[in-house]
Amino acid sequence: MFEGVDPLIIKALWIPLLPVLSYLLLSFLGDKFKNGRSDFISMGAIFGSLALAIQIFAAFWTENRVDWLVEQSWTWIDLSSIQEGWKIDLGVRLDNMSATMLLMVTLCASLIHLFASGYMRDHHGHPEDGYRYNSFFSYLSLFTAAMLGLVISDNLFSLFMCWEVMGLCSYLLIGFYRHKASAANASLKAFMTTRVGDFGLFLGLLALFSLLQSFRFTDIYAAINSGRFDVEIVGLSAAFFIGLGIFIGTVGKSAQFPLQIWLPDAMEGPTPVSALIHAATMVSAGIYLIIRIFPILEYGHVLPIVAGIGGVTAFFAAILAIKQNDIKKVLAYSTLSQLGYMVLALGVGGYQASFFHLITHAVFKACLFLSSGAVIYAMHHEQDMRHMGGLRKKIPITFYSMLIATVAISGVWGFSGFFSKDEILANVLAYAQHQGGISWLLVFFGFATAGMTAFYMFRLIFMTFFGKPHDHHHYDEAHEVAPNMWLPLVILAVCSIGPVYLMNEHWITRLNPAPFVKGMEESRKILEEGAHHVHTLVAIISSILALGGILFSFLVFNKKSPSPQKLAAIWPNFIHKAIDNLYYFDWFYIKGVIQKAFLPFSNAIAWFDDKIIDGILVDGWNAYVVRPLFKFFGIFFDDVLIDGILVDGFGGKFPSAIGRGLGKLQNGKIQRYLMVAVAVLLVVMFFKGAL
Amino acid sequence: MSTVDIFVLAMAIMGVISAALVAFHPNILHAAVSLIFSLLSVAGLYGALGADFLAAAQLIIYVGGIIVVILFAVMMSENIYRSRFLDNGGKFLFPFTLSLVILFGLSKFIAATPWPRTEVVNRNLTTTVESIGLALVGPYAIVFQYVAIVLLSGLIGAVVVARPHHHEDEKRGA
Amino acid sequence: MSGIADNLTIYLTLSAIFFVFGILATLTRKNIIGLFMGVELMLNAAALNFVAFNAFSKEAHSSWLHGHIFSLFIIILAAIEAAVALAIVLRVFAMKRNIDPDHSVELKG
Repeated sequence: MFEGVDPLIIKALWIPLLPVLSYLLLSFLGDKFKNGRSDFISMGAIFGSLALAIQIFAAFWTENRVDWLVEQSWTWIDLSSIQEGWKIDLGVRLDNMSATMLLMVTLCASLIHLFASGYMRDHHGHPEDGYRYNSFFSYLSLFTAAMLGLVISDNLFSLFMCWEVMGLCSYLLIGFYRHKASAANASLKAFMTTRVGDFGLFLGLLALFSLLQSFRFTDIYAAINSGRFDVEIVGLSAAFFIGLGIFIGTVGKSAQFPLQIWLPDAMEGPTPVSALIHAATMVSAGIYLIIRIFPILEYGHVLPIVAGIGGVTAFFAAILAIKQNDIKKVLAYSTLSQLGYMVLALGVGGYQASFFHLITHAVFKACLFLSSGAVIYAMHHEQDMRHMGGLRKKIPITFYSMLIATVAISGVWGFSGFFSKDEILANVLAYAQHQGGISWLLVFFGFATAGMTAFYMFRLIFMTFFGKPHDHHHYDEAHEVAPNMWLPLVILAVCSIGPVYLMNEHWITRLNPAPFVKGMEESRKILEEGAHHVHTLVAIISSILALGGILFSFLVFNKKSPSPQKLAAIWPNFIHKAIDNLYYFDWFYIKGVIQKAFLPFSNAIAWFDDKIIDGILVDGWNAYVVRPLFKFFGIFFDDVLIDGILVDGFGGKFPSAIGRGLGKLQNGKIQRYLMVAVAVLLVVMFFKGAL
Repeated sequence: MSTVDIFVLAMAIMGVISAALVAFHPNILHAAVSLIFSLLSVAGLYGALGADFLAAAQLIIYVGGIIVVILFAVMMSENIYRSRFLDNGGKFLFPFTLSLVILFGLSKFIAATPWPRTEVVNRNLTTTVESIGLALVGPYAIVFQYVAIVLLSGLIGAVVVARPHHHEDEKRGA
Repeated sequence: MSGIADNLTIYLTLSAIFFVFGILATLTRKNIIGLFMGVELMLNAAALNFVAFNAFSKEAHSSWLHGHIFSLFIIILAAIEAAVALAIVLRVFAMKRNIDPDHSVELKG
């Protein structure tokens, strides 16, 4: 099965395999590791994967082609003898996107593993909660394995399988502090919400398979060009429904509106988990997916919906981030907002920009989360920013790393975030210029979010690291974290600097997810040219917004003029209320959807099942069919008919009737007897033929 | 028509008529007397068949013995003086049907079978006595003895049954 | 009509007639003795049959007289039977003063 296969493919297969082995080892033998040495196993696995990923990336780099592609696929299930086309192939696809993604994921995952090995111990180096330390790393390994498997998939089916495993691991890891009710609830909420999205994804996959009998990306791309997606249902092409279904999966997994409710609550998990899952990997899996199926979305005219959802998420999440007091919650909403950016970029057609931002965001968001983790660790697990302040002197490495990452996310020139956000905004503006009308709203969303991002991220910096400390006890105790924890911070911070990404145009900004779809070349060309046009303009505007945001934040949160309270008072009460209640999404889902619609519905169905179906088929059947039948057969048939006729009748009355009848023959008169004798003689003679 | 034929015919007619009377005559005494004549006719027929000894035996035993005993019994039962005409009611139907059927069947059988026609040997006035005597002590010796025993037991039985049982005698143990 | 007596048929026919009359007498007489007379008729009919067959059988010569013997025995047994039967009749009459067979129904049931 593996002969003649490109060695790169073999390496690619080992990349998720190493963490799988780590998971299996730690699950079954984790207890054997005393004093928490299990981190060595999982770190060994992930660093091994990193090494392999670097090799693959290097292979791609040396080729330096846009359409670099190494593929291999194996047949998994072949039922085509039963039904034509029932064949599922699984395989590996290495192109510029997956190579880059592999490198990013393994790098972030390795650094996060390293950080976690320190974070999950108490201040004296003992692993918190003994054996669960081992299970933490086993879950982490499984999760990483799933993500890596997803990245190298060449077909939607194995992608979906890895997607589901990631959902499971997210559940396990968010609810890791299982003694906390809030954590348990949060993990369930995350799982259920993403499940709703997964349902849409599954429907899309089913539709896709029934149309194409294949899940492979290459087949999908070829099919679009050959027009197989031209089937029309209610006036919309099949591609619309398939694309919409798959996009719903992304809405769930990447926490877009209206399924964004789980991401803030997911902060209940340990900080390394937040870093891995909610910065670098799981949420970006959703974006990865829609970039892969971008041709379907494009062909099916789903893109306007995508852009709308992305824009709305970006804008409104940013507003929420402004008012958060928990350091991790700020980062959570920031993630929501940035994911909105990526979806928005894809929606207007700029899939390269979307992917670029995906990579840069993963790096600096991971850095931000890990830094916040370091802060929390330093402050003895204090997470409320109002209790922090003036920490920059006490934990300098953390401070500088976090500062760099924050500058990156704010979109300041020279840092990674600027370039990726710039691309996005240019695409959005070009799109609006071409389309006009309501798409200008997207422009507003995009730019306003940029400004707000700078504002609230620097609010975080100022509240945490500047000003006077509000909690002297913790402040006094605060100290820098150990090297195995600040090293990842530094590395990630370095990766947040811009020039790293601009060395080669081909690997970030020149993706080729699909051959040009017929009919779409026009719009793509227009977008490219338009984006090129407005590049400079956008750069200037976004720089102004970024610096303005930083400055304003400085004024409000450092210099306190105008004071934050005065700033808050400008906005009317209902806006504050809306923000505090997270736009009433949770309230709506719980009270409205679940309590008012879903529960009554399931109660109704349960009633139907119980009373009507069971009532008729079970009780009714029993009472009106089974029992009467039994009565009939058992009592009437058996007692009356059989016993009555056969036993009493045949057995009793009939023989006695015969006996009595025959007895009448014997009346005691001899002549009667003689007569009978003669008659019998006659009968005998007759039968003997004598008569 | 030879003499024998006429004789046989005459015997036949007498026999049939008297047999009918035996069966149907209401008066039992008349019936007994008719029986004599039917037995006589049978004896004549025996003679026509060359069974001389048998004819004689028939006359002696049957007519001379059995009929006498019958007449004795008839006389000794008082009924003959009382009811002369006995009404049988509807009882005739079944026996008549039966008899007719038997008669019909038998005659059909007799008519259908091709009986061999041979000379009746013993019209030559050769007696059968010697042969019967020899047979009785020859092949039929044991049967003869059996019959003797039967006669004896029959006689004893008849005497036992017919002995008058008076209640006074029984009380006295006589 | 010559040779009537040389045919078996007349004798057999007569025998049959006697037999039938005997049956009729047995079944219809209201007198036990009458019943007995019917029996005698039947016996005679049978005996006549034997003798007739004996006379017309192929082996018929002076020393083949099995039919005669049979009839002889019939006659003998009829005699003793008459004695016993009439003894019974006398006994019954002594007990019931009635010799109607329909009155002697002790065997009923």
